[in-house]
Amino acid sequence: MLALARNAATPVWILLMLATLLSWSVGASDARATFIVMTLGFIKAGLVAAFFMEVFHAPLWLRLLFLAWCTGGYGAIIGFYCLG
Amino acid sequence: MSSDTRSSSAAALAVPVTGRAGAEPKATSRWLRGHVPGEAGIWIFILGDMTLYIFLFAGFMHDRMKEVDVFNQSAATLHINTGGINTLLLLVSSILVVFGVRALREKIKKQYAPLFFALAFLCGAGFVVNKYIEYSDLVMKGFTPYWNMFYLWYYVLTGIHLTHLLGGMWVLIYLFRVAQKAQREEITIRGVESGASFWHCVDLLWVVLFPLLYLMR
Repeated sequence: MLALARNAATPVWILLMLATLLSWSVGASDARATFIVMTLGFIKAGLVAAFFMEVFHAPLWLRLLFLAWCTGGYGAIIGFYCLG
Repeated sequence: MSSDTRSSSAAALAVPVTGRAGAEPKATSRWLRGHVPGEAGIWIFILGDMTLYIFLFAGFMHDRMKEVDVFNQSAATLHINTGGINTLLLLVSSILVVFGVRALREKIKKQYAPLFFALAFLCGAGFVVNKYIEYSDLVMKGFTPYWNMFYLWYYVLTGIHLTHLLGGMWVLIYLFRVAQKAQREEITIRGVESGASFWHCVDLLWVVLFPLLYLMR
């Protein structure tokens, strides 16, 4: 079973679990905390794409599309948040 | 044609399980170099779906801008623990699917692949049960989609995601059956990779939805 876990996805998964526990326990009581949890959320999404969906090994066009999605989503959310 | 010739022709026609590298012809352009997991069609679907979610995120935030206090008060009534547990469940299911795909593709502990997909399915079922409990409690308290704009968005965003998740659970059943078949014969890995990519997409969307709906203030 350890042979299967010897993969970049395993440490990334541990990181994702820890980041989730951190966001969950801290929550977002103010703007700064909201900024942190949303940033963490999009970093986590990027890691899921890169290491679980294997976009990290994909051609450049696919990697750029995912980067554009993360940037666009994050930009839209934080942009409207700052305007509000 | 002798039986030997026939069997070797059949073996040549069968598509073997292929690894990540070496399956595709080597591309010279850096734009094309690399491995796209699964079929091209699944990526068109995934990217289209994710683009739709960008517009939904923007719509939610646009309406939030007009009623910040209402959105914050409403978000505080959600079950943060349920959202957190569901995030962990999807992350656990995702790593199980990663292990399942790896077991089939690289033929490492291939016999465990059906178990990985079955456990991932159970995680998905846990998510559905949690969501049912949360929806029921909110509706009992009167927080229906008609209550305010936040709840309308909450039910739309989580409802679309839940539909994807149920579709993903159906995909996990397919992966389970393919993994069982792989114990007896050669399989094509493209379909497995396509299904796994879709399940990870369901996970990816939830890791953004959780802070957006439950944690943002």
